[in-house]
Amino acid sequence: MATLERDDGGHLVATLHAYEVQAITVVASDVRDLLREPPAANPVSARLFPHAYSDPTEDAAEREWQEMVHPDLADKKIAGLDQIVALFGRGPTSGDLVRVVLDREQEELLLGTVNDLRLALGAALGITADTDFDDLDDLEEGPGALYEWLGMFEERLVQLMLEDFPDGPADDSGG
Amino acid sequence: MSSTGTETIVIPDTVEELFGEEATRQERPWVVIVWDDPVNLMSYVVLVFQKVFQYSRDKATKLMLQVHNEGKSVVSHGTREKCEGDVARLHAHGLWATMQRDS
Repeated sequence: MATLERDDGGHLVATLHAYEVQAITVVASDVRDLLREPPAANPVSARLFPHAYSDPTEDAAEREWQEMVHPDLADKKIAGLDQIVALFGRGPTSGDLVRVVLDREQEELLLGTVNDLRLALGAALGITADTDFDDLDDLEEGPGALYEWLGMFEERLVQLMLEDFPDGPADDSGG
Repeated sequence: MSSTGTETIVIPDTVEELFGEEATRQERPWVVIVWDDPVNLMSYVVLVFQKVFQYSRDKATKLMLQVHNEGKSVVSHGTREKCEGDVARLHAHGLWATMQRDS
């Protein structure tokens, strides 16, 4: 299993097995192609680019909003995927292990990319609140296993990143 | 603005009469709703609420639990423009968010 930790300088250090990097690279390439398609063209892009308006009669405002937001959002997600794949794709740095030190910007990209990959796999696998993971045939080595692996990886990443935010009741203004 | 003495000024009885029904509709505030989804981690949703809205950990956690337990939660409100921006930022973080007029 991959490890995530902060070094003394506060940088995130991610150490992954080469086969974990390989699995991420393959799925990232598939997701990249799907994100190039229009919103709603497939379950993955429908999930990553949802409607903005609850009310379907707001179709004119919805269209305007999508035209303003979607191209930029799709470009950013794809650029993030590419950067993360390139960062981890530099190959094994110690035996079978790939060790990458990330700055804050790369750390945000990693979180966004891991979350997008989980959303994409969830949509592709048809995961619902009632999904029993024992029912996924290929849990051992297919997309179901990668989905679970990414979930554990993301949980660890989120816990590290939450340390940057105040954890008390503090100021509740705004919203 | 000035008026020349002798005109009769009619004061409208209602806001609708003054500005028209559509104007009144436009002035109603909008709300942003985050809907429950089976994929996003609970901890991740808390992180996004803190990052996007600068909410405290307590408020972010309360909203996340409402999404999880009740299926949805109003996470912000304001003008149409503000809510459009909030929805865009939530979508950028992969949350399932929509906006609607406050009821």
